[in-house]
Amino acid sequence: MNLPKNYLLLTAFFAGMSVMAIEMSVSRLLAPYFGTSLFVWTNVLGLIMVGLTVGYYVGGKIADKYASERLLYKIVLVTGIYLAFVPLLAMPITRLALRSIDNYAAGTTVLALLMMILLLALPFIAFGIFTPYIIKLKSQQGNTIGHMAGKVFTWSNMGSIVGTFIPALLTIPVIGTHKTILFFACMLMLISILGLANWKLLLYPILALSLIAFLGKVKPTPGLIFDTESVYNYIQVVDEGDLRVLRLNEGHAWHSLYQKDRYIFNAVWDYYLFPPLLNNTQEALFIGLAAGTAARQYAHFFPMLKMDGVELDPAIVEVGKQYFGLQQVPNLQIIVQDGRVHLATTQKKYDTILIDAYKQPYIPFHLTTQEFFAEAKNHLNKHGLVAINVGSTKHDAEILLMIQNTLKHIFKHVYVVEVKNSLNYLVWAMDDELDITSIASNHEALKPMLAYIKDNYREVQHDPKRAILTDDLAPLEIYTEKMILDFALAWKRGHQ
Amino acid sequence: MRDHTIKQAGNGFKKPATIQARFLLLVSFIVGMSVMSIEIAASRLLTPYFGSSLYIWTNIIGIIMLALTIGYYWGGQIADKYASERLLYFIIFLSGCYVTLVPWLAKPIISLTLHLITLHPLSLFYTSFLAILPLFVIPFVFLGMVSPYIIKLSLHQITHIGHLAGKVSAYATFGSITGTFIPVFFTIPFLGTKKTILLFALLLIATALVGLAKVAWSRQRACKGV
Repeated sequence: MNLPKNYLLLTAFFAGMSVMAIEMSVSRLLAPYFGTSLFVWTNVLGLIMVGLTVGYYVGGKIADKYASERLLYKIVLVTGIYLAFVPLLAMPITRLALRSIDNYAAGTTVLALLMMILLLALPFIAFGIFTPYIIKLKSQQGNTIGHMAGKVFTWSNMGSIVGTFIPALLTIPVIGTHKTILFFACMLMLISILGLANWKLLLYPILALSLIAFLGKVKPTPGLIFDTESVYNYIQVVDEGDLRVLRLNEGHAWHSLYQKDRYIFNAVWDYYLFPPLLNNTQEALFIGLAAGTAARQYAHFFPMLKMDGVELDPAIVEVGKQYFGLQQVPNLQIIVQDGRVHLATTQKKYDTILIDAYKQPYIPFHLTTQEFFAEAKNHLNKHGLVAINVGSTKHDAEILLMIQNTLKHIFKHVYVVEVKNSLNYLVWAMDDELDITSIASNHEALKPMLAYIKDNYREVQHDPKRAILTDDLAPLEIYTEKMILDFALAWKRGHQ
Repeated sequence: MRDHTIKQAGNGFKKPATIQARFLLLVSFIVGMSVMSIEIAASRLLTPYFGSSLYIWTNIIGIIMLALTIGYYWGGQIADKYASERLLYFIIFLSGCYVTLVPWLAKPIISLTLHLITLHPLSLFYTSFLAILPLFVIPFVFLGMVSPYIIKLSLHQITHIGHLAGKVSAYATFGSITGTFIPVFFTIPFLGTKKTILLFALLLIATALVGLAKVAWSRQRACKGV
């Protein structure tokens, strides 16, 4: 069969599409086990690009020696078959990672991550081969060189655009990461089978589709009652004893807690009940609502208080309604939006703005800058305050000090308290001076929290030597990484 | 360019072809690095205004990739018509100049669009689209032109097209790797977003100027030699 001349360009399109689709899937495949930190992300991206670079180089050489269209399609076919097995091959490695994380074996975790990256970077060598190979084959059809090379890049890049958006917006949230990889693997097989015109090979994509039967859960977790992949996160609802917990991605942090008829959790959420006692809040804004633990507490202890809850990920709001009693919380308006965009677009004013937004392990940088805190201050009533939950391993970690200093730049008074038995600090800022003696509560349940804060809070002073975070310069991620690394090393030394 | 090499060869240069080709590979490395760095810095530049939702991310990647695609297409066509090294450097120079303006243009352009944001989630999508379009389309169309242009300019023998295309892509991708790590780990945390953009814009301008100087210099040598 004679293929149309432009079939090579179609192949370039499909190759470009697969590169991006697999790249998008790779980070989602790793997220449930290794998280989405800069460390993981750069390693993945780095190795993918090294794979591509090697492929380009090798591909160019092979193409000049054996310029055969059939060979190209055979390589495409093998790549497709390999990719189809990737979700299955990844399973034993992720199980290893799971065990090592549970046993705190850092070395094994890194080993598992490396194995995973090798498994996933290998097909990118093949992807790299395609472009120069297609250019070579195309050049034999007698086009003009510049135009022809430009055309191959154009088609492959158009494929990349499609391959970025289909997984991110459609297939990952609808059919999941595993089936997304399988889907694009089958597409590669089909384009090569069409090129080879050997219909017996159609057996491969059919067999590949049957692999779906062997795919296990994304992440087997004891007590798991629901999990889903949203456009932003891998979301798990886990029952641990009597507590229901919301976990995201690698699952190290608790993002929300729920237990029927329980409103005190001996964790950071209890401390969020302090601001309403302090300034008699009537209107509160939560930035980072998650599944609504704090909103449920507020509704219980302060029934007259009105709340706006801003959450970026709509799937988390749905999970909150289904599993965390978010549906029953009165006086709460839920807004699916970025916290900062909400402040920029609303005219409303609040007495308390509570910021507990995390993209683990980082606070999104644009929620920590002086420009953001100034915007928040514009949305405060008289006697209003801003409070933020900062994850920090110690009271003088750079990241905590920088956020305190930035708040102090905008507000007259800034206070901090360490959350008991936790790696969290609650920092709050206002223009009034704190009169701690006047604060009281009629609720028995709130008294221990109040007593603890009264004994342990500190006022923060401006530190002229320390930087103030700005929209332009906010090195939050780097210092978070450093803090985690220091903490891990100290922990390891302590256990040797 | 091929004419120059022949003249240069007659002038006693040992491997003039390789020297020029090497510089072109360096250019494709630098352009690959700048594309990636500016893209990463762009998302950081826009986050304070539009947040970190998927709409913004989609728009940035989508628009930049589309601009590069248009660039690839035009770049190839122009290269066939005018295979001039000077034109290549001029294109890089223009894109560098445009990117230099981006840190200053960002705030006024974005301010023009911000009032369009409403509670409807899609409003964020088209608002950020309107803001990103004038900021990044033009320079990325120019930068997209570079790869096919370099392939055209470096090609001496059609039989080696595979190897050459692979090499140019490899250098560009190697540049992309560098261009991922440098902004994420060094320039954005320690210099800031605006200076990161400026740094890579100036690098593009410098590369273009060196390239133009090289062309002028080798022409002069060639003329004197004849």
